[in-house]
Amino acid sequence: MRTIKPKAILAALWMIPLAIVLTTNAVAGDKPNGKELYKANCKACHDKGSKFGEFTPMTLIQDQWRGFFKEKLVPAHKDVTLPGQSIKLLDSLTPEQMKAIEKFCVDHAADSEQPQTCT
Amino acid sequence: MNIRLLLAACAVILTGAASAALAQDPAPSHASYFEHYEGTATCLTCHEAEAKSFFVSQHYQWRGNSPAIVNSKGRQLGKINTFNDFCTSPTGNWIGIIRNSRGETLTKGCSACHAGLGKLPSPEMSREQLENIDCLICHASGYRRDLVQLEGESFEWKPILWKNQAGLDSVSKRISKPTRVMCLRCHSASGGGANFKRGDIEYALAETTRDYDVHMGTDGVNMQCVTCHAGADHRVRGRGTDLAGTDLPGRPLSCDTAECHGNAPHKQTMLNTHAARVNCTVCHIREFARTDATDMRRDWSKTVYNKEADRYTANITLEKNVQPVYDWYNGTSRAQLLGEPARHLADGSVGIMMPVGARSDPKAKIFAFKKHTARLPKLVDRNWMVPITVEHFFANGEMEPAVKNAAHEVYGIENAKTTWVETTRMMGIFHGVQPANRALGCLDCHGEPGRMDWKALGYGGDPMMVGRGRR
Repeated sequence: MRTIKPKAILAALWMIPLAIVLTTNAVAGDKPNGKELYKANCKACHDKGSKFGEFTPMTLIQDQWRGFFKEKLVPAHKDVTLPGQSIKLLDSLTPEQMKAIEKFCVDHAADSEQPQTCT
Repeated sequence: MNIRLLLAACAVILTGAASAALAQDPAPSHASYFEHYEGTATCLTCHEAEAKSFFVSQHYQWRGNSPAIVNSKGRQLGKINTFNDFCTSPTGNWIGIIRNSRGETLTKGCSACHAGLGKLPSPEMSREQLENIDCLICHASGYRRDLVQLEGESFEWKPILWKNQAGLDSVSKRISKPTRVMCLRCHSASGGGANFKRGDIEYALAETTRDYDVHMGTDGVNMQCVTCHAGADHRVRGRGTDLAGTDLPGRPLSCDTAECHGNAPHKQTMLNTHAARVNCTVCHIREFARTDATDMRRDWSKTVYNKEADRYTANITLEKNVQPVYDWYNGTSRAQLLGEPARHLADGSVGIMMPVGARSDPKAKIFAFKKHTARLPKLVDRNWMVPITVEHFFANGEMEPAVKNAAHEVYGIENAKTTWVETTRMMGIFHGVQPANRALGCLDCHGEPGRMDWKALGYGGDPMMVGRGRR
């Protein structure tokens, strides 16, 4: 009978959250869903009470979000990996997915017609 | 060039330029006036006179002179001291956060749509009251606020950007006259949901076509709410038919005045003859609630639990594409007021707000109405109507304490005994006016079946058939 080594089990367990994030990020074939991507990639570190500060789309106004995505996102997140992952956050997102997150933030910013908290 | 052609061309160019100007976002007009927004005190630095004029307006006081209410007896009336057949009364429902069993917010109180920061409006002017005015809610594009609990039990409406000074500074400098969007945020949402209360003031009017609304269509003249309703000194023209207060009695708003369409606006004499006794809205608003369904009946005696929202409500009947009902109206109304004997109509219901007028009244015309019915509590021994403190009911579904609490708040009566009565409110329909090619035709009223109840209007039958005494 074939036995499975504990190291292999641990490796497999580590792969589960990564697979979930990658699957969420891929949203195979469909238009990327900015809200779901925000929840999966941003909320992990920026939820209420987080030491990195709470951020929701309505934390900033539209101009501030545009400026953030243009100038601040990459420098501030270049070394960030999500909890339980080995791949860097910015490497796990395609340009289309990044655009979808930006659009979600801008569309639901504090000065938009439909501000959202991402709940 | 023919002078008429030249004038026509100029008119087209000017109309186009005006439409384009209105369509653009307002410029940040106050960019250089202040550095940081620090609440209403910042506005008062330059606009104390405007704040004082706003303080005495209906929009702030929620009451005012009521010359159009035939039984007002000179009192100042408004939503703050009357009651209605939707959420009934701000008394006991003014401010606070009510949550369901999941901790989700169900309601924040009537003050959500008051142009103040949470304090009840006082008749006495003070610095505290002036600083309670929320100028930005009507004047700043992109401004939003949320209810924040302060230390203790008190609440305050604060900008959602209150922790983001740079963002708040940016938004607070985008000052303009109120746009349609700013007005519709409150006036479309009243009654508990999109278009619930009024029926003819829909969010759809924010961005619409000329065919949908001939005045507000962005492909037409693109009029803002304030184009018609702005009076002077923060006073608003027009009271519909069922508002208690008249903000600007000296300047009533009507389609048929010389400043708008005049009293003979049609090319056909027959149509102008109709206009003498038929208000424009009758033919030019075929139906209302064309995008969002409206509340046509609210039965507070029947509790409904919405499992998905974990929220209790009255039993509300929503309808879409509703055909108006028609009645005579001479510009005045009769209100059912708190602490006065309930007046029952011919059908047995209590008339909450009814238009005054009759065929025999030369000042009356036939108007289009939304007829809203409800079931509300009434004191058994005094024949007075009772509102409901609905806020906690939304969370716990307990109606009896909600009624008893309201009787205590309004009348000081403990452990009140009440019964349920039917009520009727007639609400004038004035928005969603459609162009001539979409207006009613002759047979819509004079055909079989027509939409007019001629006998109820005081005629022996269809005046086109009966002939004599048609006016």
